[in-house]
Amino acid sequence: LLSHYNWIETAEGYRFSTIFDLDYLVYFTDFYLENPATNDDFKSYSIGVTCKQNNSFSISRKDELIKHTVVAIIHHFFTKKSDDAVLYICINSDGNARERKITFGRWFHEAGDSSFEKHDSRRGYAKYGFYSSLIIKKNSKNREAAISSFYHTIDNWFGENSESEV
Amino acid sequence: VKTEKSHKPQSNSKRSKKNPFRQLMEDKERIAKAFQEDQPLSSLGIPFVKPL
Repeated sequence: LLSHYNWIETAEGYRFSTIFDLDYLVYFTDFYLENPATNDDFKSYSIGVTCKQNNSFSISRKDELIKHTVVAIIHHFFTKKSDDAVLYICINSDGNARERKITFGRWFHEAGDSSFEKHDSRRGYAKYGFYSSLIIKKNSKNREAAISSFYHTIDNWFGENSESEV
Repeated sequence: VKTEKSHKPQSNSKRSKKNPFRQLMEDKERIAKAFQEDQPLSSLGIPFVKPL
């Protein structure tokens, strides 16, 4: 039995196809948070998961191997980026940001890897349809800076003193 | 603290005057659309991280 789908690595990320002929791309991009301690940039990464046939996580719920594959890819990424943080943000163009947030959280907990921790954007920002999470290894030397930068940057752009909305 | 000053020109910080989260969501929409339409992702100008 497969523990996850095999993937192909390309310049833009990891591609895999499922037994239901769905084609997925998992990718990481550079993302800069604002470090409140230094007022400088804090480099992190964002992760994205997209399906060629249907850009919705609803399909993923029916095929556990998709979850296992995405989790395996995240582990693979962290093998060389063990001190870095990865940010997940939910797109909301179809109004399903909250569902994506729930699915991502469920996958994280079901992966059951206690060497990682996940931090979620504050509930108050859900009114903007904004849901984001940061995952980082507990023993990362950048742990505190990453977490504080994550919340600081969100507050800067969505807090009471900001005019910005999603 | 890892600040990566050499990457400043590519920074998505507040200097750009654009919400970086909004920018990221727009990028994700563009990636999804290009992927669905079999368009080359390299032409999007998005800083993808090559697999390790």
